[in-house]
Amino acid sequence: MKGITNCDLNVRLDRPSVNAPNPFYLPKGTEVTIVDAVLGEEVNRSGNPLWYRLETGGLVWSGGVDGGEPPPMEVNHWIEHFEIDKLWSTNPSIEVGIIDSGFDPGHPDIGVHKATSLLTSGSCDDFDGHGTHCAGILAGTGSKRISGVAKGHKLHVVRAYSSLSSGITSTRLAKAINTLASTNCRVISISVGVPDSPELQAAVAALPPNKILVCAIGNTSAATLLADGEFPARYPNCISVGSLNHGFQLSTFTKPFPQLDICVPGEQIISTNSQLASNSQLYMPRSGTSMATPFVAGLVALILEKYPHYQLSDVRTKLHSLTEIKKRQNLFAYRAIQKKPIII
Amino acid sequence: MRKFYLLIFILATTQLYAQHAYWDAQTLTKFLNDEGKFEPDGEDIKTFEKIRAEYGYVKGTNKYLDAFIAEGTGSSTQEDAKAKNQLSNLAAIDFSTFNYTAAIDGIAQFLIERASEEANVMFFHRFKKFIADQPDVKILFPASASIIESMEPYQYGYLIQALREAFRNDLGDLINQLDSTSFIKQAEIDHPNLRLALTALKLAHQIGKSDNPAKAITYFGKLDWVGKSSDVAVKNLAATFRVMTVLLESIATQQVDGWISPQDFKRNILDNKNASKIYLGLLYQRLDGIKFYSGNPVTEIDVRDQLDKLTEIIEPIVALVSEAAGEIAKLRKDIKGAAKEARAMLATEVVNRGLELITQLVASNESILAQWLPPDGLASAKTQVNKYVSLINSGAQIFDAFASRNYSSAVVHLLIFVDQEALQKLNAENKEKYKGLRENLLKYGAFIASVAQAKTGEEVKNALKAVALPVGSASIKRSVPFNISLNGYLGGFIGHENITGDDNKNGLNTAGFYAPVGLAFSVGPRKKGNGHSFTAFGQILDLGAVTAFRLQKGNAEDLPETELKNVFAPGFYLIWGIPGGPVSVGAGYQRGPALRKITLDTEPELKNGHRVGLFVAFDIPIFNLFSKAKPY
Repeated sequence: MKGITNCDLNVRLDRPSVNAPNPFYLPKGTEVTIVDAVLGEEVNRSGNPLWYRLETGGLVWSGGVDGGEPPPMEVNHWIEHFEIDKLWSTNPSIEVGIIDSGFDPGHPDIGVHKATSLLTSGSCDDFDGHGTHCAGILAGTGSKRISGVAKGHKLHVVRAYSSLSSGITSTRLAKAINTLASTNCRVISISVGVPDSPELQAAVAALPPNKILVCAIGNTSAATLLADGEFPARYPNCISVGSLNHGFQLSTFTKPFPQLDICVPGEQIISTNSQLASNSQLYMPRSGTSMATPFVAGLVALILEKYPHYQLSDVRTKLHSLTEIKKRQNLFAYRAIQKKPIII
Repeated sequence: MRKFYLLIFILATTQLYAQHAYWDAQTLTKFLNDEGKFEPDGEDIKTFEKIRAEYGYVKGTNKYLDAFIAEGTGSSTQEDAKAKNQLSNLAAIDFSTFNYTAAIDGIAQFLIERASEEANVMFFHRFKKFIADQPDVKILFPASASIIESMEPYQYGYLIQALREAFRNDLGDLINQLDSTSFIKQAEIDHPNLRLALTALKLAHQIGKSDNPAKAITYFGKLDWVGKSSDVAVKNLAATFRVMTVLLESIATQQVDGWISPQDFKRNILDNKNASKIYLGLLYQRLDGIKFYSGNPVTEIDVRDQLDKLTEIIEPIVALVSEAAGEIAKLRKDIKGAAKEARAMLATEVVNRGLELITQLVASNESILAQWLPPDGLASAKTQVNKYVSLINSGAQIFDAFASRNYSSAVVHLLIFVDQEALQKLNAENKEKYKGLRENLLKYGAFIASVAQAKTGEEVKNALKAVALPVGSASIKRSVPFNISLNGYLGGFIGHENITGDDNKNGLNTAGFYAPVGLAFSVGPRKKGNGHSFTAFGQILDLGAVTAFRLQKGNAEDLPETELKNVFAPGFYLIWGIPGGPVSVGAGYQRGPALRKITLDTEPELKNGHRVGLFVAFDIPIFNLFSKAKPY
């Protein structure tokens, strides 16, 4: 992708910390072609450690480039970055659940322990791709490429809607939560948002305290701003999740909500895709708080794996400890996951 | 027959329609779940997505459809749906069905024919000047103008085939080119409602081309109907066309003649509460931005604000098109079983029925207007509707002529239309500015049409013959400093003659055809360009009698046996070559010829004598012996 430098930028060599031999810099206004992004040092304590690798070679700081979008990154990239693989246990016991558009049963990186469909057809097949993508982030098996944060954990899938366009009602979401409430799932990942409703309140309230709901706060894209709701993420007994960009700044599409529990990278995340969807690639990038949510749900599963007795408040405290407070253009503070390896 | 072929062509290039609210509403209705929300599954999701994208529907912006959409959704970013631009490119008339079998026989016969061609050269001289003086001609006839501008008029014989094709291409696109001319742009300033008239012309044109004439109207839903007009009535008429377009699109089928029946519409849409609401929701998407205007000061009326009114309009329109579709289908069926001779007539009926339907639909715009406009605004809008029906009919006449390759008629009708709707409505100053264009456009347009219309080489260029020198070579001596040629002239003379044994020896006692052949020594202009020439002509023969006989359509077989001595007529003339054409004026002296007159029923008249005289004639070089190049 293309970008324009907004200041004179030093070009670094293989690593952001190594300057190229002087004089070697790109003057302001230079068009650059970005082929990759890596995390490195911050420049001027900007809080932005993202560096762009250029087609012509070398690295430049992303804060000095306008218009450049970060290239997609696999879930595995973030797992390596946060050293999450060091948190994996050999025989995980915590079961995780996901409420979404289903999953692709033929995908090599998706292994489902149990699946339930709430649709008339009774099928759990994912014709949208959203559910499969989230499932890969949460519990991808890594059999071929994508490993999820809670790799190896048993996965329950509830297919509660057919596509993003047709959406999901509060009633249906409540029913899905009720479905997983009766299973052994300790963590439920919900990457959808609906308006507040008595049924939904009742379903969330009825969950036992040791079951953790991890919910996306939602996006402000033009397609959804006017329509979808922000529940159950806004309920106090849910972990609310926002998205960060590759520079660990709040994604512009994350809905403003001052009580976000945690924000993690959610932009251009490459994960599993359903081959039954219109875009039948095996893997593809998606962006959204939807992508950040299963990532956090996976973290919660790892926390519970280590601290099985933890309840919601304990989990929330632990998650908060992994974050640092940032401000979004002086509007509101949010908790962004720290860039360093995660220790729980 | 021509229309039949046109119809076949049209059928072969049919564009199938994909999305129509009538069908889509039924499809979407099937996707409703037990909560009354859309929930397509499996492959139906793609169908759902396709419809959603086609209509540019975004949740939260359409109260009709929102009722069927679940309130929540996933939180990954999506592309916003964008409505597709349905406006089809307007193709020019296709003339590919015409037979290009022009043949030029290339046989020079007599000086008469050459003289005729010299007249053509003169015509091209004027044509070239006309193009140079009137830039709009280049816009209207771009291909033709390009060729004519780059050629020397006397070369037209070589370029006649290219010209013919260029003429046809230009005529095919003539209606579309009108928009770009300066006089139309000026006329739009002087007469802002012109835009509406032009769209009528295009609409009629499209009707004749379309596989289903009624569907032609749908091509024009997003055209600029209003232009620079601030006339509220015009704006309202334009709005009705847009509404009509949306309605017609919504009830079309994918078949060529396909329109849903009133019974199906009632059963599947009107009598089904959900389907009816979804149908309106889909129309709501399509009607975005369409407004009526009313009151003083003028206020906007958004069609979508009172969308439920559409249900009162749509039923009669469904009935109208359904009936026409049935008749057109029957006619098409009849064509299949008809004798060859009857097919063309039936095909014409198909087109005519389509035109009739369009007229009915335009007229029914009144019902649309009546739904939204108060009575005072309605009256002026109705006037526009009536005028528009008349304009459509004029347009239809023009199309009919184009379709049947009657280019002359088509061009004449079109240019009259343009004259009436545009040129005559210019203000006085601009009328004067475009006076030259008005006076000559019809003449040259008709010429182009007649060439394009020609079916044989004889018709294309009746006088194009291959001879020793190309036609127009008369201009050589008018463009080089010095030239020698074996030359002929054809024209008339008047003079004083002394005939042996004849007593009439007073004054100008003779006149007649003059067709000499001899050696011409000419001096021309020394500067660049064509100009005067002055020739010393040593005459050898005078074929005046033979020429006169052939002009009277005598056959070569009837010519009496003629000896050279009978046409031998030595003489000397000084000749002025008039610039800009092949006409020359000369004066001089000659003996003979003995052969003075040929008739079919008497012996040829042979007399010896000599004369002095003046002549006016076409300059016809037969063979160029020497030319001195210009000093530049």
